[in-house]
Amino acid sequence: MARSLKKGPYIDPRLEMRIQQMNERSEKKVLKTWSRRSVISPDFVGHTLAVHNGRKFLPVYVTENMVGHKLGEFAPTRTFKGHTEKKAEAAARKK
Amino acid sequence: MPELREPDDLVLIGAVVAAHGLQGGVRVEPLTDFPERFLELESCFLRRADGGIERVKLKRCKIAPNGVLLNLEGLKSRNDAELLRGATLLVAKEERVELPDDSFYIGDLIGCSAIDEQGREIGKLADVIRGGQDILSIETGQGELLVPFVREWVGDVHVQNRTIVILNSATLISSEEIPPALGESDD
Repeated sequence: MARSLKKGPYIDPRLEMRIQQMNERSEKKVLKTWSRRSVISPDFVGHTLAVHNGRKFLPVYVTENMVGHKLGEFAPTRTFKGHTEKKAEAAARKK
Repeated sequence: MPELREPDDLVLIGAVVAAHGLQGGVRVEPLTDFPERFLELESCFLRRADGGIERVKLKRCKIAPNGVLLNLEGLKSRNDAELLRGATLLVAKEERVELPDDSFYIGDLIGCSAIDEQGREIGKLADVIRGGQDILSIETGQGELLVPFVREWVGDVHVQNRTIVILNSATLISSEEIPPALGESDD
């Protein structure tokens, strides 16, 4: 069931505060967070957040098209142990 | 006489998973980011389960929801096709699909030296973690360093020179570095 619109999106208050502080200081540094459930707000754009995946912190550079999604969506928790991409015709794109 | 190639020159594009139909067709699981490339492919290398590599011609190709259906020259019956189960299809590196700017084959990136803006080596690229945003996993002397593969963090990528320039590397943090108290930030 969808979250009530009256409540607004959930963002970890501590994370939101730290982002706001960095925005006020025009500072850019990697912030670590365990809050995978936090929704990405427009204030996050341009920051890099290290999101915990249960094992390690995966850095996520927040772009405009990520707004409205949750942080956890960008830090996969499982590793696909199938065919190796090192030998396959698989490409990585610099965004 | 089949044309033999060194396996290092070859890139995996698919794996034969089953026979299809009675005329010697095979169903192939695409292992490429570009499954539509099979439609234009005229020939490729076939590595059989026993390790033997030969060049085969493609007679017919169709992209189906459960894989790519191929008819290879020389396969006449379902029994012939059944023998290919477990075989892989490969192409030479120079036959790979041409990529747009700022896209790179993961196989070409692995092993490249990650250097900072001053040219000092940070480590070697060990892996690329794929997801919504690709992440470079760099093996340094102190452990693993993860860098988002975005223009803000990664500068020039020279596949020929085998170097990747990492920007602002001093502000990056190790992926395993745990802040003093669980749940606390590092500031």
